[in-house]
Amino acid sequence: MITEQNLEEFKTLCDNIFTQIGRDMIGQKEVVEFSVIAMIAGGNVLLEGVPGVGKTRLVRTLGRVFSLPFSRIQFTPDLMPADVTGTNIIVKDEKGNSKFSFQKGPIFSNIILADEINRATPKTQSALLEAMQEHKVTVMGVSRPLDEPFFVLATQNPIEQDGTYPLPEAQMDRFMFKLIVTYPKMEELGRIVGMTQITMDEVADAACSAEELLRMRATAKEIPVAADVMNYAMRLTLATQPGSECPAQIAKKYIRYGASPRAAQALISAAKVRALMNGRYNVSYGDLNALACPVLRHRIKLTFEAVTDSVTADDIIHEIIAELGHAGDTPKAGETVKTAEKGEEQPVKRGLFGKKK
Amino acid sequence: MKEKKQLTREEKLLASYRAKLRREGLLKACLTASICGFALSVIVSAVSFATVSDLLFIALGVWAAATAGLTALFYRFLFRPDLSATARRVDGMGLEERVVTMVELSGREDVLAGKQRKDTEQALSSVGVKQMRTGIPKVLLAVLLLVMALAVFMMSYSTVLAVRAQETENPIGEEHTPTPSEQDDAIIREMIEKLREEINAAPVDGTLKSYLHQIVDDLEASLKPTDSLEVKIARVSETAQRIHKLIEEYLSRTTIGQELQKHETTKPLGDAVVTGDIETVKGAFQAMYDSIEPHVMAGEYDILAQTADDIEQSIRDATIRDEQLAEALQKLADALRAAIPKQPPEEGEEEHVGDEVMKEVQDAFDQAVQDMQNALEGEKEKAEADKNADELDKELQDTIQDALDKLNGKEQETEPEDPEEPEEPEEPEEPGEEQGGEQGSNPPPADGDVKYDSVIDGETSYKDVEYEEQFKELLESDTLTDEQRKAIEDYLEFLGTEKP
Repeated sequence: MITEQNLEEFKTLCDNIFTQIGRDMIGQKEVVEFSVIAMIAGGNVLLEGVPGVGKTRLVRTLGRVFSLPFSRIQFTPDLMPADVTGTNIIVKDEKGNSKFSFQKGPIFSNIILADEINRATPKTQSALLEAMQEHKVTVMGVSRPLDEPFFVLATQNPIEQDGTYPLPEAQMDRFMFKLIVTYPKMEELGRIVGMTQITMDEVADAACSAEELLRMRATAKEIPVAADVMNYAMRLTLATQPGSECPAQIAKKYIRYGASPRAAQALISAAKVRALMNGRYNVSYGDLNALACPVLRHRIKLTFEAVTDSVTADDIIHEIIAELGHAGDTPKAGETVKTAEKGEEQPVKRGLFGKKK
Repeated sequence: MKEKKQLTREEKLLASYRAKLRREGLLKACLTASICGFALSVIVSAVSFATVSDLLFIALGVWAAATAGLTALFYRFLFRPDLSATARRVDGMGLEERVVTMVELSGREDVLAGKQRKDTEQALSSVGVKQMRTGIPKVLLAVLLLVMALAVFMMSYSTVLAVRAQETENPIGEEHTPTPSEQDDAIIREMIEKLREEINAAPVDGTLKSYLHQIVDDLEASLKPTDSLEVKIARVSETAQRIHKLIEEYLSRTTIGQELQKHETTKPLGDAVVTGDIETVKGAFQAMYDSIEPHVMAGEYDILAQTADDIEQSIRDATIRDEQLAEALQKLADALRAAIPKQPPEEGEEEHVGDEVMKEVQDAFDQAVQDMQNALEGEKEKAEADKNADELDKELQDTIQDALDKLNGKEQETEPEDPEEPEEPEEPEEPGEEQGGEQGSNPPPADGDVKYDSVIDGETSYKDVEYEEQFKELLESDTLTDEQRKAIEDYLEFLGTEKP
């Protein structure tokens, strides 16, 4: 049963977490917010961005702030699954007998940074599947649970596609969010350069322990979701499936495969955290709309027509939101609920690919 | 019980919003029902258009009934806002599904539910009822206007068509509203009827009445439909004045006897002539003789001249001329004037001269009595003949009128009974019920040419009534005017009787 103390603790910890992250990360508020949401909700995050925009730094900072053991795996084409999961090696005991001993791989940590995950072969990429979904590793028929909390924060470079192996759908589906890390703005860039002239090291302090993070997750799970909002999350997910009972018009044209049920689960879990982070005790349409792109964009398989029409997954998601009639509830990028306008009935705005008419 | 309390609290929290939404729901229900009502009116108008019948009031009634009935139904089943709907609308004002969640959490008393409710109440305090816009869809209003315009057009058009068709089919219907022209005609007709009634009621003889009626007939024939009402009234008034003048002239006519009554010397004679009794005339002459004698015996012969002058004056003034009487009285006047001595009597001969004069007066009176007797008897016969002619004229008119009435009645009875087989004779053995009491004595002839050869009792033949012989006698006499004679001849011809 949730208590007043839990709620207060959640609020305090959130404030501390963002404060500490802010010491190392300049800009990228949305990426930071969603990353924290994913960590509290227990999801994995795929960060996509060009080199040098702070992906790795963000992951390291998160590891520091959450005071959790952190492992970095640099994915390369010759990286083997055993290099990730660990393997049995032959060791000699005190009596000189040889025996197999499991040597834990870097996956046995709380926070995993899977850097440039798309550079590894699918075989190696698949080594993460069980760990990401079931939080355990099976080697030589022996399953070994991973420590909780467990997160995989993967990065990939969208521009250098030669010699890469795009993540399969099953792999992608295991990421709660796919976050696009963009170039910093001029003001942010200036602050980044200024800060790194002093030191390149992360200076953030630990703000949240593993136990506290688990308590935050438990607290967030208790946040109520109204039936209408829950229904909206389901419709939002099903609208991406061209063959579902309520597909969006645009989905029929541009989507080959839609989002899986994991998307709906991710939407609701993340929306609860987001609501509570913003001091609200219920999930709103705005939460779902804000989270729709990071949750759904990597779960949608576009058609060739979409590619030729230069229609992105985000465009389709915005159009679906508009078609479902809650576009007006979508907060602007980086906007929290507290900053949303109150007191005026929000008109429903519809438009092609989310553009206001 | 506890849940109910919480629910009541949430309902109270949203009461003002819900009241506004109820009004909005009622308005939407009314508009939607009105659309349905107008749609039904369009259907009724289409039926009216197809059948060319005036169903305007039915269309209006259908619209009113459908709007009233469907408003209640639509509100009850479609537009009445429940608590959840109210919460959704309130959330639309930027409350981020707080209210919906609060309503769903009603009944829960845990910490999270309490915090959520408190947060919602705080958020609700920042918005007011006035900020909630009334959500009447523009599409609904547009459809309403469209259907309403269509219904109004259809109702008007079908009604106009129906009314025009009704006027074409039944121009003089039972509920026919007279046109101004018809109203004018009615006024003129009424004036002419009144004029005819006055003529009939006037104490004048038949000849004058016929003449006056002829004047009215001419008037009617001369009135043109294109004349204005004022012109028609003027002409009728002019004719009426003329008729009144003729009647007054007729009534102001005086006989010689009446004129004689005006003079002192001839008053007894005038009284007697008016009575028409020769014995009275004789008595009057005796009285005149008695009154003249003292004067004559006294040598005052002016009384004779005066009497003669009065008689001649009376003859001149009388507008009803009786030539025999006038001749007799003129002879009397001449005799009286001749009886006056040419020279005044000498002394001592007054009595002798007086006796001679009185003797001549006596002779004149005797001669006058004889002349007047013939004149008075002729006058009396003429008066009786006029009286008989008037009575006959009246009886003739009544008889002809009865015959015409009977003819009209027969036509009305026979026409509608068997319109499809008008020429088929009815079997005498099987008298139809439609014939009623008139069958038997005068069955209609087989060729359909109805002959009315009986009087109004339906049994007595016109040939058997006794005044037929009187008509014949009248035709042989000289007392009838030409008009009366022609009427009787036409009548006898109508009866198929040979003229005398």
